[in-house]
Amino acid sequence: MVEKLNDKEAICISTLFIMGSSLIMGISGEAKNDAWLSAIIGILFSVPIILIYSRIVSLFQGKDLFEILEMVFGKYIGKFTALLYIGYAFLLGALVIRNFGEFVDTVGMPETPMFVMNLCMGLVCIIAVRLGVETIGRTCAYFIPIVFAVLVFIQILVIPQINLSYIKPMLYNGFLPVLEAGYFAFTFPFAETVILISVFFTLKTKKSARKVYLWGLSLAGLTITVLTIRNVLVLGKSIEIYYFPSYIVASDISVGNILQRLEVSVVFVFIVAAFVKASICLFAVCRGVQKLFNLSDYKSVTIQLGLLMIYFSYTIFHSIMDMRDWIEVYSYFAIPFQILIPIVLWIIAEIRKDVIMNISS
Amino acid sequence: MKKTIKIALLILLISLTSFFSVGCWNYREIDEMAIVSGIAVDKGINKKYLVTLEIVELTGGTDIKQLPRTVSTEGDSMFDAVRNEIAFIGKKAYFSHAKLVIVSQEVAREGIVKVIDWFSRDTETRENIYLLVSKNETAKEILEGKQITNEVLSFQLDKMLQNQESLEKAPSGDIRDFINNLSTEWACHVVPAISIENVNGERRPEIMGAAIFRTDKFLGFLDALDTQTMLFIQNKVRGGVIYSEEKIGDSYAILEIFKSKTKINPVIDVNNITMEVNINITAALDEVDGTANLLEGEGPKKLEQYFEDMLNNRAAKFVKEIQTKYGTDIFGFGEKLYEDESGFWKRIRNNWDEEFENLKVKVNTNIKIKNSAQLAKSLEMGD
Repeated sequence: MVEKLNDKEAICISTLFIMGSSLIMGISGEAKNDAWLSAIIGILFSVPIILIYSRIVSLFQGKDLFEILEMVFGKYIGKFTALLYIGYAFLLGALVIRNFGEFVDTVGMPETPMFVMNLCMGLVCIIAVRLGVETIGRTCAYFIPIVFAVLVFIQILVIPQINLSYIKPMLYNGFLPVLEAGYFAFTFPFAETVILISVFFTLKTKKSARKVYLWGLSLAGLTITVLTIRNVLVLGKSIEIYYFPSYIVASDISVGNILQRLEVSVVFVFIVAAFVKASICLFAVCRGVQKLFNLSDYKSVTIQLGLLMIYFSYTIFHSIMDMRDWIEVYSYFAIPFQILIPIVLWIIAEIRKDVIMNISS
Repeated sequence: MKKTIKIALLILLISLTSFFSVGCWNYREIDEMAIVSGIAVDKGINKKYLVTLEIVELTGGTDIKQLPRTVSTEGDSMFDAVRNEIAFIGKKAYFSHAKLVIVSQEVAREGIVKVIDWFSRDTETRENIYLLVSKNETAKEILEGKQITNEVLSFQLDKMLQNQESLEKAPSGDIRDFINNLSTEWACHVVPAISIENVNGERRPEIMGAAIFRTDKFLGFLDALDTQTMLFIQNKVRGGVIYSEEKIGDSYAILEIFKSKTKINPVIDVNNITMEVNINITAALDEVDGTANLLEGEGPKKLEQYFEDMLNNRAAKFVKEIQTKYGTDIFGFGEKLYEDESGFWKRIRNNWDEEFENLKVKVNTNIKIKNSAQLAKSLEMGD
């Protein structure tokens, strides 16, 4: 059976994938009260690279990332880059699961071992991946109205806590920190959509890819920008001292002493987004392993790889302090995966597309 | 046969999960928790801090009663002291419902960051709890005072702070505000002051006036009137009363404030800054302490003029006093410069304290008396 995603489901997947863990971690960096500018800069940076991704998807319609790599780079380099991408997706999935575990561990249940949280999240991802991309797509389409409803609801209720003067002065520390934070926002989360190339082989038409990518970017980018502006307006420039600013903002809500303690709603949104992101990463890993070793079905390796991912997420950081430092390292670590290899891939594909198509067909 | 095994396995699975996978990892029953409503921090005798918790105990039965009681423990840090309380009452304190922290002057003088860090960092405590400074010798005695309503004392104090908007004799602000201010260059903050008064032989807490902090160190108290003036300049007045200092005609007049809006306008002339403070008040004449007819002819105009002059003088005098006595910018002038004139602010931020001491401040009050409540005239008395 060939799985097919329609455009709406694909847009939902990419929106939730981008929102993923940045919903709760926020756009970090030294930008302080200019963090929202960094979010916008991050989106602008990512538009060209996302157009490249979507071009790659539509050039090789019906082929996933690992097949494309092999077709374009040849057998040996192709397998090697595929291995790199498997590692990247594996790491990313583990990071998302870890973010979720750290979050629950920090704000909710400090006495429960984090492994329990990671396992719960990971098992659901394994089940989702075994059920296939179509199922994940339909889940996203089902959840996304609820997610946006909760976000809008919180947004409205938080209005009394807003202090408009917190946004002033703009660019007090100059443009450089904002640019830097903008680049961080580009690598995490916007350009992580490179993983989605390994999912969008299921798109129905050639034109879908660009539409799906751009819609996903704009929906998720808008959400993240609005949330960042909200966080700045509520928390001021001390926004950077918190691990999870969105959670702190939601905990501030107090309408007439009745509507209080709404933090849990934020947790719900975060769980949905993190689940989608981790599932997609796990799917990419399984798909890659299948292609690398010429297995007949990716489902036979899902449970093993999923459990490995959970274990990896548990051991990847020593503590939440490491997790925060990692973002800076990650922004350089991600350059080959998010920028270099896709651009090279795209250029070679554009030049030699006729030759490649002939060989493969 | 196969079906029966399937069903039996399913039942087994369901019962197993219902036995082993329900509830939380570390569940807590409500009667195992000591719900904390208020916290007082004093200097310890043997250790660094003496922390007093007001604990609400719920009694069961048909009508649930809240029984507040206080427990004091010592410790070398906030968290240490709070946890030591287990040694006294055997239950783990639960802080999510705590409303306020009262700090003694002595602790506040040494620096309050050591106290509030824990509230901001710990997951169970909330940042939106009020911070107060005790005018009495200890903070502990305030939590041991007697409440007027049937409520728990801390909850009553919380209401007092929330309803300041129609009194405006104490600032209001939570730990979050304090932390937000702390990281700035002007780093100055005011928090409400609390004291305990003897009323009819009972000791009752009273929130009146404010305590000034420079960075996290306590400097001194402001009385209720000064606090109101300060709130006017800070644009934080939402209600309250102004009474005339002298008799107008032969009576005092009292205004009720409906709206107050303050705009601070920095005027920069090379290196001289003048702060223009424009206060716009809409008020109503709500009480005349005598029979003088203040509303006839030019009366309202004169009344407005009198109050404008009074507030102008009061504010100017108060600003001067703060500049010479404390030399700290409690009005938020630095913040205004930072927000609107950030280029200029960068040049002077390192010696803002001296700049503030020599700052020229021009207060310009504009009062509009919109009505005189229900009476068109003053009460008349036959001679």
